[in-house]
Amino acid sequence: MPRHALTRALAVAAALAFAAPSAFAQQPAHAVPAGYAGSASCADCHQKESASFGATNKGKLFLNHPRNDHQALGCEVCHGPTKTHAESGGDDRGGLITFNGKHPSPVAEQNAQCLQCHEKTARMLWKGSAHESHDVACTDCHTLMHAASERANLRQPTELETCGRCHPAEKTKQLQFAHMPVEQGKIECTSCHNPHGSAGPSLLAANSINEVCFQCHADKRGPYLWEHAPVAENCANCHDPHGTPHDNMLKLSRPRLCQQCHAGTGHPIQPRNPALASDFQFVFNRQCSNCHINIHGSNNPSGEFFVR
Amino acid sequence: MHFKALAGACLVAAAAALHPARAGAQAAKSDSAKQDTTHAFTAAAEFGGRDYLGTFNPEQRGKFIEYRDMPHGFAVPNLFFGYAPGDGFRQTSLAATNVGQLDQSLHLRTQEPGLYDVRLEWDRIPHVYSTTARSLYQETSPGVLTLPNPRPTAAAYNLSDFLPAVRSIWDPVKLSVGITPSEKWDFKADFTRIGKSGDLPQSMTFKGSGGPASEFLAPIDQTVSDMKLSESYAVTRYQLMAMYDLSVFQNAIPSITVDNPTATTDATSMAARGRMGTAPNNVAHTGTLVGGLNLPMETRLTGSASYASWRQNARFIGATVNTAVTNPLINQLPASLGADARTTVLSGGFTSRPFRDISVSAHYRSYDFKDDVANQTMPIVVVADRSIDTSITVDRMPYTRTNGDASVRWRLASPLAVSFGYNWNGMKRDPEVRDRARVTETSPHVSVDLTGLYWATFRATYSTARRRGSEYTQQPEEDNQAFRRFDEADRDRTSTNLLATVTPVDQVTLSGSWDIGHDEYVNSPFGLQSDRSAVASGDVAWVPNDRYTVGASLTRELYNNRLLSSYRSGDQPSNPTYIYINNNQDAITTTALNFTAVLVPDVWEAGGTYELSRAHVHIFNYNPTTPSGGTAARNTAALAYDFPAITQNLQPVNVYVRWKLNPDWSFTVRYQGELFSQNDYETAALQPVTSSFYFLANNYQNYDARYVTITFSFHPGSLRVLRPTL
Repeated sequence: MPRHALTRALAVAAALAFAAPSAFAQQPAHAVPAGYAGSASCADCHQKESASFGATNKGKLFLNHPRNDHQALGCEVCHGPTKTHAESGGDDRGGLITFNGKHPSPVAEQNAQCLQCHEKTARMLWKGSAHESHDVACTDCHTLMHAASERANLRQPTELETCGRCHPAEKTKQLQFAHMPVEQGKIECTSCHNPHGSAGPSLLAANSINEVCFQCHADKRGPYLWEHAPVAENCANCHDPHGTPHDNMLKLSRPRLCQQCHAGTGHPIQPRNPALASDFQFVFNRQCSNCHINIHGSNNPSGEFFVR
Repeated sequence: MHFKALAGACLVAAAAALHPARAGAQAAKSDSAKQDTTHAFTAAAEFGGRDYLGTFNPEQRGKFIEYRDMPHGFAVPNLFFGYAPGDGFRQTSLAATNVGQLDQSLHLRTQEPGLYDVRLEWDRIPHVYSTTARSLYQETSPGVLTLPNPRPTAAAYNLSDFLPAVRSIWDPVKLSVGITPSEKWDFKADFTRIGKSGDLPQSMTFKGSGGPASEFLAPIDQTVSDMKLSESYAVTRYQLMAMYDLSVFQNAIPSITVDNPTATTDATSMAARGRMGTAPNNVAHTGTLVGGLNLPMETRLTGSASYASWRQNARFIGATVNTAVTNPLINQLPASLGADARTTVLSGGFTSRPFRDISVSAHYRSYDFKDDVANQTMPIVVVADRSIDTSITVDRMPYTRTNGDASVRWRLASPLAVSFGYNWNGMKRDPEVRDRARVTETSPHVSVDLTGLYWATFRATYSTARRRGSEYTQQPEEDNQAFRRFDEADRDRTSTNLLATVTPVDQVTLSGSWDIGHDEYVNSPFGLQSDRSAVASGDVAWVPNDRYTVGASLTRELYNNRLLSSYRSGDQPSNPTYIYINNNQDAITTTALNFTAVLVPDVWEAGGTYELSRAHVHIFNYNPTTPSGGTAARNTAALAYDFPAITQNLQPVNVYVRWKLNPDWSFTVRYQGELFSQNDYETAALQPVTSSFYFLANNYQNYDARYVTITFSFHPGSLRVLRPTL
């Protein structure tokens, strides 16, 4: 771990941690607008929920340290004006926005509450995204009322479990022979995807599949002297990053994977008999890559055919 | 059993538990009295020991420790320290996992919700490739692997000891700073450095496809450095964001030189050693602008523009290390490539809700990849350090991908909505280096979503796509001209996706999904013919009361890929009896069970998971007609045979009992087991020396690992959720 990075980070952290509490402690008084009941009123009947929410970061912000009039609405930032509901003793729902229970508000109304504050940064392209256009609710993945995950207010302890509720195949692929260390928590679904919408394909967190992969595998970016066309265009031509039964998360066993494109004379297109000694090197160990090792591209002046 | 470590851990924990944890007591007290204190320190820890039952040899552990470290003895899975001044709104924390292990992580964070969030994270990732590799190479200097002279005999390879675990280690360190100075402004900076070290199995041929060839451990010394900066301005009406990303890749080992195990002197027919290039240093700059505008009728316009430059100008290594190759053109090689690839991405989106029950949306996107190099011709290429090609043109692969979609969504009733849409994808390539100049795919689709109900969610999508293109010219021209590459060929695709969740009674939730895909390559006389997939998944969760949960799931995946090929040789370029059909079938079944039980409220609880993943990979080959018409050798070479089946089986089980000594302290005994077995003809019987091939002969061995973990956990309920323990 580089010492200079650690030192700088520690200095920043120390400065922020020990900054005078008074710098942000003085909060202006916020009046309760018409139609709103105030968070204290909610706590009269919903003690358990109020206490649980109050222990979360968002709860601390909204209930004790609001930075503007909107946040000062507390519970009603998300649930909308509740005066009618409160004054009826809970009988009249009024315009209450609800996210769970037997009578949740329509998904679009729920999400609109979140977007009041969050329609920016990574969520700027939420509207029209694959999830939004299928009426996925923010609360399908997130919960604010208690801390259920290490980060991101997820409903499940991990991203894998959260995303796996609707994408079970991608989750179970983590048990296949070749997979990435997602189950170990080393990378997460959002290491590659932005579930809140993106300009790229498949809700990817970059402009293309390759650019996502290059975030960690920058060695594959090149540009190489000898480029391999399907690699340069799309890593997913050969790999399924969610996991496969084949080495290196390949979609198919070699040599068949390669024979989908290579139809030249001689050794590339021979059917190959595993029992034949002469076919040994084509079907065992790395198969085609026993020789064509730099298959992602080579910058060796003699790297033609990717053997160097 | 290695009880010493466990006993030590038990003593530490018992002592701490019997003296109700000064730190813990203070933490709990401070938690309840935060309003009155000015500084609150909190701590949490999970520590104990792990021991294996029975025999579990180091060489068996390859797959078991693929991405993790699982030593026996003392273990600290989680450690947490927190500091919160004042009422606890601002927090600083230090969390660590798997302390002292190869897969440890460290997370330092300080934050004030809504104002700033600073994180420093180090999360080490080990990747074990093998624990059964055998090799006689020595790395005499970085990137130079040598063998004794005279060369070792085959027996010396085959009788050599297993090498220590072959692994690479990634050390990603990330500093992330997020500041929200006002509700309108957001600033974020991420600095990431990934250091990569260790070894990676690689191989090299010294002559041609018939060998000799050698597999070896290529050393890794690489760094990926990345800086991302973003600034966002947002008001209700519009939002803007600007981003810049600098990514730098550095490789300290520009080449790997490897001794030929069968030759000690250079000759024009074969070199005494070979040299391969490694990934070159490179730099990428990416700038992006994103904007969104909200208009009446829930209309939103979005747009983004991104431009990137990927530069690579690393100094070339020499054309060959073979001293017997003395062609003067070698001295005319350019010094470097001078590559500058540029991507330009433009996208726009429109969504609106002109009527209460109808929404419309449309998107357009263009991704343009240009790939320019300063040197487009190599005066000489020494293939495999022996055979010479001259004046080779370097192919570049520019392309432009454009796509758009439009859809209408009709909310028939409050929870039910139907969408109709149409997608269009276009790909433009250079016909000089690829087979087709243009390919276009159009895809209408319909979907139904039933959401917002307490008792049911249902989603279904059906799409059909048709991909066609301009004239197809198989490259290179001497190849089978009737062959079609799968990424450029005409294709008809259908896709059906269903997802349903039903809660018939409060205690039971049933969910299922069913995804079917079918690609038919309709105008491909040779090449990929069809690609089918079917994935079905079912899940049941039963929560009879607050104390018990039971869950079970089953997922079945089937993949079938059908390829039509024809063996060709110089004198038999189009013999119809040399045609063969290849069916690749993968079938994977995954079963999972889980339960949790609160045996005695606030005192005893238990839980467990069991998973079973079985994979069968079959490659079926056959000739529709028995090969004939050529020489006996050709006819034999054209014969297609089924490949031996590959099977894989993974069964992890994890059962625990937890005793809560008090609200903060708990004691957990966990029994875990993992059974792994595989039967893979590709590596199962591999010897280091087979014919003229010198392999590492590494293969993940089967194992039946069983181990017990005993941990004490001090975890005040008010603290952050700790990372789940594996």
